[in-house]
Amino acid sequence: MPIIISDHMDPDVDFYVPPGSDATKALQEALQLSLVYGVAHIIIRGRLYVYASSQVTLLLDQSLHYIFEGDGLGEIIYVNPNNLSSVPPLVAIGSISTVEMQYITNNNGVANKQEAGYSTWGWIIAFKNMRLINLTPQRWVIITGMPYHMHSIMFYFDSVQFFANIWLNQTGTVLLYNCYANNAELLFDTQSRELMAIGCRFENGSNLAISPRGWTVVGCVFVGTNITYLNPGTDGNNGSVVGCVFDGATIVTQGADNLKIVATQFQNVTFNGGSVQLTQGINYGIVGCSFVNYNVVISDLYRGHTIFIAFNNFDDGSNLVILIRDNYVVDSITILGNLFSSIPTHNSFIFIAGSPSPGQSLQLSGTVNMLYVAFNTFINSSHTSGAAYGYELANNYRIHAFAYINVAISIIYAYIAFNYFQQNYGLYNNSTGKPIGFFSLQQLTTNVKTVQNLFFYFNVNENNPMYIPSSQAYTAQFNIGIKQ
Amino acid sequence: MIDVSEGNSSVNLDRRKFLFLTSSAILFSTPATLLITAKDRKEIAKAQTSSSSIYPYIAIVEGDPSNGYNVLTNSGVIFNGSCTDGSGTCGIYEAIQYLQNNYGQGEVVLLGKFYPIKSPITSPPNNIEITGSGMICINPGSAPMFISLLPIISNEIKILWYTNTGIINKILTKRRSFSLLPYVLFTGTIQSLLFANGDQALGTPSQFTISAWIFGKPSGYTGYILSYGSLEDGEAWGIRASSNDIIFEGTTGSISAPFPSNIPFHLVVTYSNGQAAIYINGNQVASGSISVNYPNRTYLWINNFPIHSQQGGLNVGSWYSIIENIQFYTTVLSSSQISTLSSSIAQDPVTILVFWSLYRYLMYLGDLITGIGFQRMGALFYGGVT
Repeated sequence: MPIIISDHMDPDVDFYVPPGSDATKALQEALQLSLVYGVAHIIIRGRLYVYASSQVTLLLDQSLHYIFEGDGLGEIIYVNPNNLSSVPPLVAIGSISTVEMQYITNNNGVANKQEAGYSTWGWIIAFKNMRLINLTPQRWVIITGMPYHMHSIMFYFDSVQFFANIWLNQTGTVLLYNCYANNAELLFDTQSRELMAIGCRFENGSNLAISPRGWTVVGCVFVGTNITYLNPGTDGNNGSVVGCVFDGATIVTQGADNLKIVATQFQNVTFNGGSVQLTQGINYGIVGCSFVNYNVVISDLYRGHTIFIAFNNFDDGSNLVILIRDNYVVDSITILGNLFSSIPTHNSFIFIAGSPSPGQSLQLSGTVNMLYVAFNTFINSSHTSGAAYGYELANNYRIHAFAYINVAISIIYAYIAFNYFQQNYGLYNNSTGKPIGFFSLQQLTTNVKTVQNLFFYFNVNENNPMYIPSSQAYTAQFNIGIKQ
Repeated sequence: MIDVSEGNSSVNLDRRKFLFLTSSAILFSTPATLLITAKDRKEIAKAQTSSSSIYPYIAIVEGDPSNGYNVLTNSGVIFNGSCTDGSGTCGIYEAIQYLQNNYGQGEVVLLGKFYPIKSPITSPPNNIEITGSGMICINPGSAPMFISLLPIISNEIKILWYTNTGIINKILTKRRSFSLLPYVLFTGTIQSLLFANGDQALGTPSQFTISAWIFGKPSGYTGYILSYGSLEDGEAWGIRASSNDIIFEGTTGSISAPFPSNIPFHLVVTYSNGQAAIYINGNQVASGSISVNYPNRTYLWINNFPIHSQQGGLNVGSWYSIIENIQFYTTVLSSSQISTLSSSIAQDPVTILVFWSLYRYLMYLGDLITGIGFQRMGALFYGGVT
């Protein structure tokens, strides 16, 4: 039987909290009463105000499972009527039993010692049908973490509306399901694991910041100006973004490895300024996505490995920009089976250039070992004439929009194959006025070498020029519209 | 005519009129007259706010400890006395008996505050309802009867513990959390409960008494029953059942006695400044010197304390083991107090104590004194209320 706390005097209410008064005591006594059942299933009916005090209001120790559930939708509003200068978070957790398990003996073992220390054996903290609002100066309404970097905390947020920030560390499984964040920061930080965000909406400057290794964001919506963002953090590795919708919002990484963005829609429809900004990681994969007026910038690549961009459409001002850090090497870049569809002043081109080393000026001294550009289609969908714009690099360097494919970095091997370079219908470079070509190599600094092995095979090029230095040799076979 | 005072939520019936009726000559002079009319009955039922009874016959039990209790029936007053008189149920059982014997059915209406002390029946009688607005304060003696009668006692009647030890009545005011059977069953040697209340959960007393009832068997491994310590910092003391012995060990030194041949049994360990003793079923069976040093982190472990063996708990008594009615005092109890504790598996504390985990009669997975629960969500820990 759940324990009901309400600001309404219904006959089934266990703890009545008059509107506007402090619900702290009711919540704490409800937790105590929950020991009758071994699980704290607390129903929040109506709106509860929790007055900040010097102590954390809800210290969830490892004695109960916790399910805080709104009746329809319950609200907890964390307020600071006493104007405390130092406000603790509303919710924190205890960890004594998990700490103890770090020291369990191996003798007569029934559980692997690491497993015993790692697992909380199904300890659940769940919030359902709740609206959490924080009106205190404390930045985080929930702060949790475990000692010893254990990845042990399981949280379930089901249909929770966040008007408050949360900061969870050392997570095990965390599920955000059907949640809503408004100007809220959901941060899953140090030594976290296994986050799933499914069917959630982030808007109005909200962000989902992720450090877990192993996470997925499925069917979520990120809407608003570019301060609404999905942020896989420095070690937010091994994450997937699948079937999401971005409108004006941003994906920005800080070095997350193995990020896969799949079947996701990026369109600046209602809002402007959205972008995809992946940086410093390896093995990025962007597959089956749609970009409309959305630049994709993958920058400061310095740790080898690969970048894989396949089966996407880049429409109406959606450039694909890949930048390699000075003096570093990316093993391969594969751009496969995409549509790059430009219109005047909103070109969708490929730019491959460089990023400066931290604290240095740009040298363009990075290298791509292997570049595959294959099975792509490049068109001017408007069939009308107009300007195309390049991309601003660091230190006022600019890689120009001379061609559908623009390179300003050293490449060892480049295979340009099976592409369709439709006639440009009068698209021209904004600064030179020259017609858009199908390929350009721009030696913006002397560090940019000619492509050591440049091959064009099986392409169709409808009379678009190629802009390469006179010293650039290449091999072209089985093409239409490219001189051998 | 019995008036109903609807504005009074604790005693709906106008007590002055009721007492007049119960003591009046009219009542005694007209035993064959149906004193409580159908209309009166409706009024009472209405006042009770519960759904109306299906039974046409009622017996009213009213009273309080200072004035005594009356059972008012259509045969007159059939009981008049205290809670120790008659069946030891303040007349409640007498009222049930009356209705059963005369009509085979009926409704017992309770008005007032009752302190029954005995359990003449331990299963619900057929075709009887207990309603009213009274409060029944049970003790270990009457708990079996009134817990078993819960299905026929209306929700308007409060059932509390007879003495407000710790948080018992705070809990019972909110929930009827009763169980005739113990609800914490250890189904193997690996399960345990961990009580943490700060870094030294039970303090660092120089003398103490531990009391518990045990249903289990000695283990081939460490066989911990109760222990105080942490896996991180070590053991302050432990009570173990190993090699067919009951062992009480301190940080150094131990005393032991043969494991009793019959289970369940009552176990007490006393300790006072280096001197320890073991009592089985109220009788001292071992004593000697041990030393107890308290580590920085010291928790009370119930059953397994996996410091030397992951299977470090008591062997099961059948398919489960039970360690129940655990009481911890920071004094050394007298032999008579220990004898009292050994008299009943649900015996109340005999003096002020700092930890009490009952496990039967009152369902509460934690310390009834502080209201703090067990830490139990780690691996190998107990998984929940069964």
